[in-house]
Order: sequence, then C-alpha cells, then structure tokens
Amino acid sequence: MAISMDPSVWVAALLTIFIYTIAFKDNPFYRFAEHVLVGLSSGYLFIVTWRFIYDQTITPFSTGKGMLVAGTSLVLGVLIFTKFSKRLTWLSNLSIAVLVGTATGLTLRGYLFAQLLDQITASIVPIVKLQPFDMVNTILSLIIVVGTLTYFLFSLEHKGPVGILAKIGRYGMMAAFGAAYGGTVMTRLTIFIQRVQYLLFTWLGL
Amino acid sequence: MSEKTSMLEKIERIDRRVIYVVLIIAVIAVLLNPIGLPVPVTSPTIKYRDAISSLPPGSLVYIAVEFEAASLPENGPQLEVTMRLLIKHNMKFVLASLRSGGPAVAQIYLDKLKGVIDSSGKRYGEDFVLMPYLVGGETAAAALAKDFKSTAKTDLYGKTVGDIPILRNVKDAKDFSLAVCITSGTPGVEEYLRQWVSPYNVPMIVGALGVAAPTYMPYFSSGQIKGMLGGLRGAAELEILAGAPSAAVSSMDALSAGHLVTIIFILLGNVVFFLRKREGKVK
Repeated sequence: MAISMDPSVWVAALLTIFIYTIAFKDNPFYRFAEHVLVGLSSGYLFIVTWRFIYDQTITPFSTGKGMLVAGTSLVLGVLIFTKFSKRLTWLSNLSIAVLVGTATGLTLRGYLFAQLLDQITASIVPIVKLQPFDMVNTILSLIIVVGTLTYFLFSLEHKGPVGILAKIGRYGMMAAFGAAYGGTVMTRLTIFIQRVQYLLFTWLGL
Repeated sequence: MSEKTSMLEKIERIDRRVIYVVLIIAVIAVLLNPIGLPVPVTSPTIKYRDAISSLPPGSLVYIAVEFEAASLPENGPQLEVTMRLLIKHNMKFVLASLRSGGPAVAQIYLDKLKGVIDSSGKRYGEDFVLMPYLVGGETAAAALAKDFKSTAKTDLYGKTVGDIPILRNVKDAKDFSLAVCITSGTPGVEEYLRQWVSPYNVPMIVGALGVAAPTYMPYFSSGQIKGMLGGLRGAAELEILAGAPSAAVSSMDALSAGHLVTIIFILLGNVVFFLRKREGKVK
C-alpha cells in the first residue's frame, strides 16, 4: 500500500499529530486543532439538538397531533431564556423547577431499586448454596465492605479489632483504585494505539 | 555511594517526554511486527455472548449506542462485534442513542458491516433500524421505556416509526428481549438500570470502557448486568468467541506492549523510591 491521497485522511492525520504535540509542549498547532474540535463539536451539537426540538415541538403544530404537549414544552423552553432579563428572570424558575423535579423523581425512583435494594439483596446470599470460588469471593466481599465502612467510622479510635478492619478496608480500597487506574491506562493506550494505526496504515499505507 | 545516589536522582527526575518516546517506539514496533499473543476469554465476555446466543432467532434487541467519537477506539469494536453476533444469530435490532454523536458512530459501523448485512439478507427497517439522537438523558430513557413510539417519532432519516415494520409492534421496554448498552459514561449503564432493567425486567448486557469496567462489576456480580465487555480487551475476547477476529484482536499485541512499558516504569519508580527511602533521602 502507498501513502493515502485522500484529503480527508490527510486532514485527520495532521490533526491527530497536532493534538499529540501537547504531550511535549504547548504550541500553536495543538491550540489550532483544539479550537477546530471545540468549534465542530459545538456546531454539530447545535444542529442535532435543533433538529430534535423541531421534530418534537414545531412539527406537531403542522400535523395537528400532540399540540398541547408540544406547546407546553415550547413555552417552558422559551421561559429558560428569561434568565437574561433581570425583571423576568423569576419566570425561568418555572422551567427549572419542572426540569429538576422530573429528573429528581425519576432518578430517585430508579436509584432506590436498581442501585440500593438490588445491590443489598445481591450482597445477602446464603454462601452454602454457592460454588467454592463464588463462596470465597462472597466472603471476601463481605469482609472488604465491612472493612471499608469501618475505615470511614471516625467516632471510634482505629485500634485493636477496629484498627484491623479499617486496615483491611484501606487495602480493599487500594485494590479498587489500582483496578480503576489499570482501566484508565488501558483506555488511554487504546485510543493512542488506534490513532497510531490510523497514521501508520490508513495514512502512510505501511 | 554518591554516584549511586546521583544515578537514582536522575532516574527519579526522568523527563516525562522520555517515557512518551519509549511508549511510542514500543507501540509502533509491535504494530509493525505483531507477536500474536494469546487472548484468554474471561467469564463476563462468555456470559455476554451467551445472553445473545441464548435468545430465540428473530428476537428484538435494543442497542443503546451511548458513546461518541472520543471513545470510538474502545466502544467501536464492541459495537461492531455485537452487531456481527446479532446478525449471525438472526436477531433484529434497534440502534438508539441519548448522545448527540451516537447515531453518527452507529452509522459508521452499519456502513462498515454493509457486506455482512447484505450477504445475510438483512434489510433496513425490517431487521434493523437506526433512531436519531434523543435529547433528555435519563428522562428520555424513561420515556422510551414507557412509550417508545411517542418518544422516538421518526428514525434517523425522518421516516415515521409507524411505517417502520420492525417497530410496528413495539410499545414499551418489555417488547425488547435484550438491551445492549455500549457506553463511555453518562448517560449509560446506571440510567438504563434505573429506567429499563429495574422497572421492566429487561435483561441487559454492557460494553464498557476499560476505565469504567471495574465500576460496573458490582452490577455484574449481582446479576443486574448479564454480561460485560471490558474495554478493547473485552471486544477482542468476543471477536474470538464469535470466530471473527477484527480490529480489537489486531490491537491486543500493541496494548500488551504499552502495558509492559507502563508496568516497567511503575516498578522502576517504586524501586528508586524505596532505595532512596533506605538511604534516608525520602521520608
């Protein structure tokens, strides 16, 4: 394979190199690529959001279906912009109240079951019914959960059994942070490798 | 003694750019000369595959494309191999996204799999469909689950959902046999757990970034998530299971080389730290 003659490949390759130059030193090439990225992203987001708003709130008026919901959404949306007026700013509170209220209600309802009760239920399992490996895993989880909670128990001095449990909790957290760091390294390296592959094979045709 | 200390000091103060250069050389060398290291398949990936392969042919699957161009290198191969597997097992799928860039990245992979789609006889609108960006994050996820057609009124190309055969009988989340959430963060796993899995009992599998995979492990352990792909490694494992090695498998050697360089520098840093501590130079 030979070097690519596609202008779009050249633009992507050069912008990739410009972006990675920040690893060595801040420079105008990096800043140029950064501004291009921010500009394009903002423009793209504006267009796709506008299209959604148009379909959901403007189109119903031309089709005559769902005008009440669309009209209410449109009014609440427009009221947000009264933030720019000192005299009318209180009107934007109506929209914000609807936004915050809906989001909080939905999140709390789901959070209670999906992230609290289901997790607690999964933690309380009779270990005798488990496979040997899962049994060890469950006991280990239990010890680390209790240890981590003890670590954040500041009303008791971390001495004796409490100190031992707190230390176990600390090691558990360190293991969790280590796993998260490993994942971070993998994600960053993957992005880097994909760009190097693009430069070597798609652009240079090696 | 002072020479040794001076050497340790030099290693301790090594310029970060030297590390970058070593990393670049290691990655390029391995990409140009692949080693072919084995990729053992882990339990979350096997369960991810099983969640798909255990469904009856013709089942309707919801794919939440909750990532954008920035995480394409990890989430992209996950989406590609998932769609390959769904096509192989004769499933129908709906691609939707709560992120502005989601439909665009989904389109990239639909175009990439055009040959596979055409050769399997799959047709747009009958066997798969691509929905537009749905604004509203978790609120949109909840609305989709409750009333799919009122929330997503058209597909990406403006065709009304009522005129799309695959969506004709879809009312709510219960009409999907499986939800696949391929995500780079928020909105993503937690939102679908709260609005789809818990209230509607829709089984869910997840494709996560390497950085986020440990965060989702408690949901996998509790059974709320039926299977999981962790980063590019997870995608490579699924490519092997699906018998279709592609982008992820080809990157695994370079990823291992990068990890090796990182581990060597971490070990070096720690050895120097402890040697200096022994000499009483570091507290």
